[in-house]
Amino acid sequence: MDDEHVYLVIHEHWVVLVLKFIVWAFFAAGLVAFNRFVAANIPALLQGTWGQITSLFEQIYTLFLTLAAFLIFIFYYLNEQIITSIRVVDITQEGLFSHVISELHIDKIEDATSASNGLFGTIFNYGNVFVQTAGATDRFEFHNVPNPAAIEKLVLNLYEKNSNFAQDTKLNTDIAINTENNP
Amino acid sequence: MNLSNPNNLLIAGIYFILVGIMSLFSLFGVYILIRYGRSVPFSITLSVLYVFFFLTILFQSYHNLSLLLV
Repeated sequence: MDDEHVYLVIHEHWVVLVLKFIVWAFFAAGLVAFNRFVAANIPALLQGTWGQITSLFEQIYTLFLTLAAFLIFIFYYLNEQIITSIRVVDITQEGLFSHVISELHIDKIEDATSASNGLFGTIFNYGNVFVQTAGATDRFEFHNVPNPAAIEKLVLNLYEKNSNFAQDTKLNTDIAINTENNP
Repeated sequence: MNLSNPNNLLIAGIYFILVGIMSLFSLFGVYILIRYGRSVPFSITLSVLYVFFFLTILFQSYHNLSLLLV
């Protein structure tokens, strides 16, 4: 839409990505530790046919680590929420084969809640934002987003701005109708 | 690569299943990154880097497997 303005594009907080990569780094460290352990204690595993088998195992494990790092990043990159002057869009990449896009018009919002939980959430100021919609639709949930209180405030401000605009428009229309009826 | 030996066949079978699954996941990963990524240049750059790295290790492991299964 021409008059739609994008206010915010949100991803998970970078700390959440770093925490996932720390777990990944433990698995990567396992490979290094295995190499050192074998070299120090079972050197026969690195020579001849056994050496080739060990090397093949390590290469397959490295492939697995590479794929895992790639998937961690693309899930972070593809999961995003967009707040515009008219809509809230939630794009979720749930897996490799599931891509969900949900859209909510600002004027359908009933309530917005933000919550910061846990040690890291409190220190780095990230958490969840819940946007309750009118009707039977489930509430929108933004997980581990940075500065949840500001996002909640922005959503509510946009809602108020939108409803004020709608009221003004209705008032102008009523005045126009009254003027037409009672010239 | 000699696959007439049952042991070799078993090793090659396990290798190709594992590598096949990982390649399939990589392919879909690159596909969704290019299709849904907001920035096309970034998505393509990342995909090229990843594919280069993945294929390098894949070819090394295949070379290693061929030396092993003689």
